[in-house]
Amino acid sequence: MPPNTPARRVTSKGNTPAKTPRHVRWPSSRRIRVFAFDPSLSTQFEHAPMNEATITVPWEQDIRPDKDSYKTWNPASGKGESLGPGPVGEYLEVIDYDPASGLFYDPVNLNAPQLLAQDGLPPSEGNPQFHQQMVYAVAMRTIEAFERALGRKVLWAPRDDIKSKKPEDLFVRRLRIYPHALREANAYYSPHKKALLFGYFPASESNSTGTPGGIVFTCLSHDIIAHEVTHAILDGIRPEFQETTNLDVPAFHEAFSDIVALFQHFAMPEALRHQVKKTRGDLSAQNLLGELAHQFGTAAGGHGALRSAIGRYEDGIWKPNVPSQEDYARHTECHARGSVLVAAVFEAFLTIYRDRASRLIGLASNGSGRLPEGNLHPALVEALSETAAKVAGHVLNICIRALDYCAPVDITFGDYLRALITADRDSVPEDPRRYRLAFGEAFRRRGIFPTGVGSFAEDALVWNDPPDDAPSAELLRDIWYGWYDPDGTQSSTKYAGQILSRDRMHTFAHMLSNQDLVHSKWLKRDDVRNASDRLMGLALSKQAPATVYRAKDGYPDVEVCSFRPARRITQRGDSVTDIVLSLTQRRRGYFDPAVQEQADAGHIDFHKHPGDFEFLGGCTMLIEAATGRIRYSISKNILSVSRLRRQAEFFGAPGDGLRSMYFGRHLDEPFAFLHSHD
Amino acid sequence: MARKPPSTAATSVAQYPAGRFVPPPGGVSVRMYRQGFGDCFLIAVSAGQGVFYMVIDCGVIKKPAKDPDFLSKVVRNIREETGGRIDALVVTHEHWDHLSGFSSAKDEWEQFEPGSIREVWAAWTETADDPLAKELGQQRRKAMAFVQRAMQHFSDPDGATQSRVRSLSAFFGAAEAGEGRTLKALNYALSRAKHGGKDNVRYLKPHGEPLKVAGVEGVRFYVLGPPYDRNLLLKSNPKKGEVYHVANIGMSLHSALRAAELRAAGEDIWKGMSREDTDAYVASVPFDRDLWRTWDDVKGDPFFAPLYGPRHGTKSHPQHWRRIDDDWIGGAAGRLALKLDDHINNTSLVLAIEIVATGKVLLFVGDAQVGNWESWHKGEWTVPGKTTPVKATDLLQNTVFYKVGHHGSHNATHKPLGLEKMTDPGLVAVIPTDRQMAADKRWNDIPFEPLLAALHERTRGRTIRADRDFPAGTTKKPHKNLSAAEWKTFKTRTTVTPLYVQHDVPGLK
Repeated sequence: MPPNTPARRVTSKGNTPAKTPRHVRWPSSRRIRVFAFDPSLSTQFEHAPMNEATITVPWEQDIRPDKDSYKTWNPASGKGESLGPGPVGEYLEVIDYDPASGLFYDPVNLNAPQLLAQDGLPPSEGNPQFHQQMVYAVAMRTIEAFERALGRKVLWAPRDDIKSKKPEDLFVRRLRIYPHALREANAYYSPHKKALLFGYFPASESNSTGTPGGIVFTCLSHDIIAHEVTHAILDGIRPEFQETTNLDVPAFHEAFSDIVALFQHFAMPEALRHQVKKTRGDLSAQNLLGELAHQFGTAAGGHGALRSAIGRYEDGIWKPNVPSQEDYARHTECHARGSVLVAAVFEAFLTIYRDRASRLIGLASNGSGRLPEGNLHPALVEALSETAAKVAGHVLNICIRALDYCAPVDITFGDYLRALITADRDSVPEDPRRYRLAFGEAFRRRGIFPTGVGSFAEDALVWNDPPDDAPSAELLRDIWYGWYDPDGTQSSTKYAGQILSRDRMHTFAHMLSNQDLVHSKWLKRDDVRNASDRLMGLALSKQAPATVYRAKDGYPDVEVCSFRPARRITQRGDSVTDIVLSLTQRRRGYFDPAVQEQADAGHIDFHKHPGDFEFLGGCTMLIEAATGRIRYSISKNILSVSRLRRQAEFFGAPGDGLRSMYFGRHLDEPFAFLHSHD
Repeated sequence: MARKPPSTAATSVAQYPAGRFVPPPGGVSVRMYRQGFGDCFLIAVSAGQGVFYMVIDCGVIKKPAKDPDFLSKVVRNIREETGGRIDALVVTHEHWDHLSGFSSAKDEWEQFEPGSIREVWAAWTETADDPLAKELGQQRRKAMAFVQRAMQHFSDPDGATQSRVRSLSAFFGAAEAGEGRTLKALNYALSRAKHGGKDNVRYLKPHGEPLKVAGVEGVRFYVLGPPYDRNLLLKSNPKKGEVYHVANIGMSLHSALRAAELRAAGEDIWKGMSREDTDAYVASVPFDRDLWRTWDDVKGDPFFAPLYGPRHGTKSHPQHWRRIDDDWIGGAAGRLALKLDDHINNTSLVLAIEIVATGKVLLFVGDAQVGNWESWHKGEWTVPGKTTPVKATDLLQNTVFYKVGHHGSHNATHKPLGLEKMTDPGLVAVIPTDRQMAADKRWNDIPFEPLLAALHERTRGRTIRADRDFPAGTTKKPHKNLSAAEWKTFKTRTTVTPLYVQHDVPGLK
């Protein structure tokens, strides 16, 4: 399809011919029709009207070309094109190839006037172009949620399959999406291909909502798309979370992806109003908002949604979840453990929502709090829906922002709670709505206890301040702003001029060169090395145990794995930027404590006994960009004996199921929606 | 098998003349050969004044790099030591690491005179005469054929999933081209007992009476597994205990693979597919036919050509690293290969050899997995002349020699229903394993360290591995709770040579 003419006539700002009488800007968003949940609800009398939703995604313009990839760049104008067929945009490329069938399906062109005029194709299972449209729309909206919460561009994890160190080779501009990649009841994010692969499969014979044997497309499930794209985004932010060092790490990946998918339900106004009306505002009753992957769950022969944060079916009867202090310890399978975290976060949401809703209900019932029988007044439904959407947005923001407050390795749910509390206190110091209490309580009720914390009081849960005598980090500020002058000449860092560039490739290159500078300058300073243990939980001095991997210069090796901004607007309306700096270290671990001791002392030949496992340490520092002050230093100590022993125990235990035996502990595709041996 | 039970020592000498390899009086001696990751045991059982010779399995997962003909030497040693006679050749299950010698060392096996291999003992699952065995066998063949075809179809044979499926398939021999080399090896072994117009193969079912072996009075042979039960046979996962049906592949995948094979060969899929495949293929594509675009349709297209590229000769295509040609089939074949592998392990013939005079037991479990171990406890054995039936727990409690299942992996030794019941203070464990070979195949958890630790505790250091020279030359006690006397006894009873490790179990107290 050639670039469509109507869109052309309205040219972008700066590219406008002088004679054009007035400026008409590109729209800020694009409206696209999707299934609010999945196609199964569209065949139900009750749910059909609200299941066709129109969502808005950012309007993409000036899309840049990828190295060796599809050219949307227009050399004549020096500008990128608008969204291309596929869709192929700045963040995503949807390629509809079905390798099992050996067939390609033509790409949808969302800029075609026919589609621009009617918010894209109408929802349809039989039209692959609608499938392409829906994966694009839901994925874009998820990306937008992250950018809004973190105040920075989403970057995909860099390529891991090439030797080149050049940023332009490592950079992955677009996540690839294959809507019909697999013939199985699964979908996954492939960290090697930087791609989402969605499967399709015939529904089981005992399927309660659809046609037995009818085809179920995972790429038409809002929840599965949001879940998988979140895996990809999280992998870009915290690639080290692929290192399974305790059960919570993979469980966190799953839970976090479910959380993002769940809270996006609240941004579908029709669906939200419908469910608020149905439950009379009680969102802890069975409802679609708190459940995930409805069609997938029933098509696989189950009674209801695949996963739910609020309840489940037992012998065909829906029962609300009753939290227990054993929940956390009892579940040892990764998705099951993850569901404990999802339930905790959702409960925190419900507590906050209920508190706010009670005021509205009080108003609507003359203060009695008891609503009359029958349907709620439409205005009340509207008000309750707005409240739910607002709280859901807050909670999702907090959950996303907390990622910057986690150590880069070995996360536990307890750590995540501390990150949530700290992140929220940073943006809302007063907490008038008691959000933080709600989080603390919901986690405590499920037996998620942060280690080394005496109480669930806010003061105890927030991360500690760094030691008073922490070394100066002004250099980091200077590096960040490009003031640092490594050669003593006027030239600043190679990419300093690009710091404000809107090209994500420059953002990426800037990050890499800054990481190098932090590594070669700041981390090599004596005061930093000497304070590394107390400040960062790392071992950077020569006295470090011999088991800590060494660099060529004989000092312990350390990796700078991210150096990115986090922008937030405070309660008072100030815009504050922190630099998020993450460092990791590796150390040889041995199952036998006696051997470990020998190895630490350097009495072991590492060529002969390279270690039974790799022990990871790491630290995330939040540095005030304006002053260079280190605000938090959140670490997983590389020298911790107790953590080392725990990890030895974890690696010594049998993996989950047989796959781990033959295929090793690392799954080929660790981010599958369902793990294959489940 | 009706045979007149001979009752005098003179008969057993005539029936079971001793070769060079002689067990202690009334006892049993076992040789574990050291070919690597694989099983081959020669067992000498006292039969009055004579010796009853058994061989359990003959295989290795891959030829040892240093000595590719190692198994030929093993078979030669068996022939020389037994005087060229095997009274019972036991094949536990259809896996390459238990049978490869019947292929690679076939020349040596041919040296055995016709009739000198008197009987073959196999699990009931190997006979075509049993309806359940037949059904499971057909499912297995179908699944194997699928995995094998899938592997040949991989466009990138070096991909991570692909090479792992391949290494796993090495067990049941789907890895190499040509149909079923493992099955061929099994059939050869089964055929070797054919003489006197009879097959002389015993297909064994568990429980009931111990095996009747004429002329062997001082020793009883109990069959513990595989269970004659579909569900237990298919149960292999220690945690979830789920039951899998191996051949549940579906026509959709079959036809898709067929079409993919034809496309790869540059043929017209409509001409090449059978009627059944064609129907299944068309039905399995989820969209209307007017939406279909083949590679030929889109290869000149400005969208798919640069973004995806053609299948062949595409390593240089800049987007090659993001292609997904093998993912659908790799996932399906991988899951199937895993299930198949478990299932076959579970068909392992499990034997317990009891020395009547002492009550001590030698336990050979093949590669039995959870379902097999659990099933032992679901029945009992009646010994003629004894009033109380024998239970699996009794046999486990008296076990003094345990052949560790599946080369020391985590799911072939049952903890509560197995190892923890082996309470005899004299327990010795032997593991036919080779860490290096396992690592070459990327099975980094075999042998499984925590299991090794558990065995070390349970046997108080008396665990023998095929890939270690132990206890030869070891002067220090291997475990603090092992007495000096026990250590000395163990060392006296164990002989280590480069070819084998031998352990003797005495017949008298």
